[in-house]
Amino acid sequence: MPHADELLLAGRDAARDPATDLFLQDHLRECAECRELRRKVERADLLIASPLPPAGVPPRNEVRSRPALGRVGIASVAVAVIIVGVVAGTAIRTFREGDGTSQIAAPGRPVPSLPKDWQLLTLHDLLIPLPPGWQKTIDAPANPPGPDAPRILYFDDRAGDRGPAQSITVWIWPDRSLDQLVRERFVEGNLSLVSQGTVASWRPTREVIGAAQWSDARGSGSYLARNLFVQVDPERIVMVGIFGPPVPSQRTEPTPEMRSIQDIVTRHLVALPDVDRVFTADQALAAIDRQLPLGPGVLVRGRSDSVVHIFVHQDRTTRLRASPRDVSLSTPETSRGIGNLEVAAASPDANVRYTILTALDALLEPAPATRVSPVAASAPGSQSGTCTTGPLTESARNGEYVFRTTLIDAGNEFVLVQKRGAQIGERMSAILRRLDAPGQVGLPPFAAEPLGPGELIFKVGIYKPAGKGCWQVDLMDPSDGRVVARYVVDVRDPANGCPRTRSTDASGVITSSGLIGVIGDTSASSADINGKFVMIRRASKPGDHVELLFQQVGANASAPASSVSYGVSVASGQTPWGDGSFDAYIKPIGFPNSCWKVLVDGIDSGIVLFVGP
Amino acid sequence: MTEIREAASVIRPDVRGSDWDLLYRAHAGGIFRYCRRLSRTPDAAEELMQETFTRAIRAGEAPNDPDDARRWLYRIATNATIDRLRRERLLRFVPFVGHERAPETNSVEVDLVRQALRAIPPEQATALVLRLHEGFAPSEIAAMLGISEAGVKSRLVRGRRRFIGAYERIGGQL
Repeated sequence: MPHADELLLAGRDAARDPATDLFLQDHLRECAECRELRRKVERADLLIASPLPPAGVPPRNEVRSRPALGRVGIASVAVAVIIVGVVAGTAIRTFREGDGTSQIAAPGRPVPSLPKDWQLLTLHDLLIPLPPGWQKTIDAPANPPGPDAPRILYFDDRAGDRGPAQSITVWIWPDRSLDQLVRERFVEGNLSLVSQGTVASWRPTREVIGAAQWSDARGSGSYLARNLFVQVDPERIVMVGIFGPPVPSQRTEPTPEMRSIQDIVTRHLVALPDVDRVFTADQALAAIDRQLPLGPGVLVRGRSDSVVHIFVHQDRTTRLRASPRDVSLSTPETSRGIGNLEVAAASPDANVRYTILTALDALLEPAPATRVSPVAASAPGSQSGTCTTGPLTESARNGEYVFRTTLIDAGNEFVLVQKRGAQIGERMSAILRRLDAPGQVGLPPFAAEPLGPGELIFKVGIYKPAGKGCWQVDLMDPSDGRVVARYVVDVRDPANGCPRTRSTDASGVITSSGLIGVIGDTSASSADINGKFVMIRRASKPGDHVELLFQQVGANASAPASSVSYGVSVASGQTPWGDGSFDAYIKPIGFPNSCWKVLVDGIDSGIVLFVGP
Repeated sequence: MTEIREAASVIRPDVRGSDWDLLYRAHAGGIFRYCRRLSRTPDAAEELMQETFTRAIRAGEAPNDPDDARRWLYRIATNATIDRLRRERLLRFVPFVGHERAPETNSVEVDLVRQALRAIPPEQATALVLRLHEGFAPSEIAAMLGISEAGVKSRLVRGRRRFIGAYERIGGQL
């Protein structure tokens, strides 16, 4: 026979037989305490069952307007949709696989080094990377709301509807400086501070570790919280936090795996500024193209694995008002709104999506002069010793022919020409006319070559047959000698301009500062794809983590990336300076005839490396 | 320059917007009410309801049977609510949260009930609300949560005991 308490607490759900009912009635007659409990149970049931004050149910469109993970809103009316294939072969040239590093960084952005299968979320004008399968579980303002109140987001690692195994929190503070926030809120505040410091990264990153207590029905315990702070834009600080799991009677700390996830999230979390301006799709494509070369013009490539969708609205207000329609895409996709454009990047590689979306920041800045774009307000040509590159014919402007200069092999500089609709075996010829000095060179006919899957390219060698200078390239149809496109290129000596470090110390280590050095040589071939520069630093020891940043220098900027960075560990091994060295791999900077200054943990090492043909 | 062929080819064929509209119209009110019972603010309840439908849409196909669909949505809402309650509990003990959200303006009694429900283990609170507020039978709750009916009844017994204690502790009169 169960105790009367349990029968009473079971309420009307208790399965009672006549004998139990009789027992209960008898017991209640004699037990005032039990009668009181029954009254309370009935009252509690009534309270919980009581209806709530009426409240309107949010309309469905409000629910749907918040994009779910992996979905993109597609406005259905009055929007031009432009789809551009990111040529797989071209993408491979800039996102090489194998070492987890990528070589492209938008200005003021990190070089993306995300695990390919990560997801990217765009929330609160932030681009937030997360491991696959993680979901947002909380997105709420702290209260009372006010200018100092943070926005609090939680993301959980979950599979289906199982309970969360791990979580990460992102707090967004407005209107603070990094130092002020850390000092006032966490170090001088009520956090049980354990330690504070900095984390090596491409931007200032503060670390605060604190201890906290918890208690609930299961018991109580304590845990360590590790919080990383970064300033994502002039108005906002973001904290990325992780905790040790709540285990009763134990003090826990975040797992190494969670610390690694936190580091990746913090490193790649960036602001995605928006602006009330109107852009064209071509402007967006040009911005993307500067970081990740696209196919010529606007086209659809059935074989490409990465696609950019651009939704052109009338203006920003129209874009924000557009009622999205949920669609699920077979390829992971992340979208970003900027001005009147909604740009969605679809790619199985998170680094490609990341680069596409962050590249759009260039729309907010004055267009920089590049080697393939003419200087604004200046016609292509040579004037006063300045070579202004750019198209001279409409066919070279409208995407029918796309010209790029690049260094491909030893001592030669090519113009790569992509022709819309080119066929295998199709031939072209060219005449090079020098604009800054007398000179003219005719090139024999050359055939289209495959550059990547689904892409053909005409390679027009310049440096070897013609030498450096400001050259006008007349591309011709060899069957009738007709000029089909004309472009001005600035050809420089690919071997010059790199002041690679050559000085050595008494022990033969190449160094300029005496603190950081290279063993062996500061020159290598880009063909040595698995090669490396062996670097050492005084006082380093095996197991230390080193953040390397390579900045392209020299007159001959041949690599598409202005900087490359990644982290390496110091490995054990005797060197002239003691135990431990770390490897600077050639692969991430392996652009022929490129020149790189090396910063180690943010400090200029004084080392300049040259990557030759 | 307009081209939508590629976009159309990558849209999942199993996305059925009209079905979700029907489900939403049929169950959003109940889910919202259920979430409000356990949420500190209407905003939080709306987030939970939104999360419920987001998870449901992401999961793909809803059950065809209307009753099964209703139980399925409540199951998702319950899991979302339990997650939220656990997370908020953890959040509360992170010492630098600093501020709590402002409560909804309600009668004192409604607020006390909500506070008491939030003070007890989330699994017990959701079981009580599903049973008493939403009217699900213990067998339905069991199927919904993937536990035994005896497990549900156990949660209800323990939940009532804790609710009574919590309600009185925060000043409520039973």
